[in-house]
Amino acid sequence: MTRFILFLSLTFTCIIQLRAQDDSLWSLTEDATPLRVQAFSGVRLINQHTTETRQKGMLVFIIQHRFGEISGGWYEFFGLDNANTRIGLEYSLTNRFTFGIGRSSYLKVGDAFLKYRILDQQKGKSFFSLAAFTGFYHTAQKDYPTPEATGIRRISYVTQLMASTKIGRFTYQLAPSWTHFNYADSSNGNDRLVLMNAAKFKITKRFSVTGEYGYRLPLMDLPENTFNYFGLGIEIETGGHEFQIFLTNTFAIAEKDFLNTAESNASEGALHIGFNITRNFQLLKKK
Amino acid sequence: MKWILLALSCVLFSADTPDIWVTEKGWVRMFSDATLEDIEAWHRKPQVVYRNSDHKLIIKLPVSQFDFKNQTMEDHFNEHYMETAQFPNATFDGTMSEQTGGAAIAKGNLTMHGVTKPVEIKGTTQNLNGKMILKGAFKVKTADYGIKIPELLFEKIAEEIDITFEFTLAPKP
Repeated sequence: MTRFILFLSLTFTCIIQLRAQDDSLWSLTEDATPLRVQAFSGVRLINQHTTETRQKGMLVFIIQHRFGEISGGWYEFFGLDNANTRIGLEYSLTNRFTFGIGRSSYLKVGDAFLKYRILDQQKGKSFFSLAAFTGFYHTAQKDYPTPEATGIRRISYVTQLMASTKIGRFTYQLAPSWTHFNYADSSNGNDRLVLMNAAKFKITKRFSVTGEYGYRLPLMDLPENTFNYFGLGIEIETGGHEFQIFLTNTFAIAEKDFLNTAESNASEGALHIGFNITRNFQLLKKK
Repeated sequence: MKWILLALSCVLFSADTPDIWVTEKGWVRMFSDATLEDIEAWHRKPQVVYRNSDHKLIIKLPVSQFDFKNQTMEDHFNEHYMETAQFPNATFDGTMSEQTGGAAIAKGNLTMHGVTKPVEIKGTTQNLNGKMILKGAFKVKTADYGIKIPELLFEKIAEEIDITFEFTLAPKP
């Protein structure tokens, strides 16, 4: 009898031990740190840079196209007869640091920029992403804005701090922007401030609607016949590209121009159709 | 006396063959034919736990640790296909039974992209210098796990993904 009890108790201890162990196997495993939230899929939304940068060794080729005013009607083929094109190249030196160059045909603007991703939105760490941008622009258009603008007076600068947050399907980005023109009309001042808003809503995994609006702070007189910039568009993502098509109230692509001097009067139907095509090339192989 | 001997041998035996084994190293390779470019990814941090006493085998792969040659592919894999932010891990929960000649079958539930399906994975086990080596291969149908592949010609991906793996397990210290 004692032997039997001993046997029983031994068996039971064994079973209890097994039961107790059963869930503990998963406790021997670990979870990976959460991925950083990709606020946007592209490095640009419409005209505005996003808080995204590409990984180290990635070359981005970007073609930005803005047609003329839709209000030109059949004679101008709704603006398609006329176009401003910017061709740009951007290279990521590190996962956070990107530089780029580009050339826009409108006003013959050559540009160069630096962009740095400061902080990433990450579950349990930060609810927003932060990036800084600074661009340099040279306007080569003859006698623009006046014949007096020569040499260094043709240079202008844009500095932006971008903060974005993605909540579910919705992303919002706020970018206070400071533009310095080496040459400006005295009533407008050399420095301008714009609060640049950008938003994206994902309808499906690969299809989104996008919008941008720049509120110009009325520190000085705003240039005549110019408006606060806006853009409305859609974005389609495929394998290695983003395709963005939209309507804006400016022909310009360079930040210094679209932020401060959107020239088309939307209330008179003077809008521009535009698109961006970006293609990513991995120049440095991973590892 | 007989009982005491039996109990003693039981204790000695269990002390002799370690009960819980964990991954020392390993990899999982994912491969798929695609029109433009073959898709290949490696996972070098698989987490495997095996318990000898009841043959229980569990595997956990944090999906974000899959490594692609191309960063864009990796981003799309996490963002569009696996929805890693929502479903961070791919797991296997089941048992492994050894067959003759080093063959082994693992039966259990494979969970990924939030969908659980019963699977049977054939492989081999081998004991080498006190380590247990598990190898195998199987196919996963993306549609079974609710992973939608867009019907775009230029990034057409095969609907079946080949998975191969090798794990080296060592007794849990």
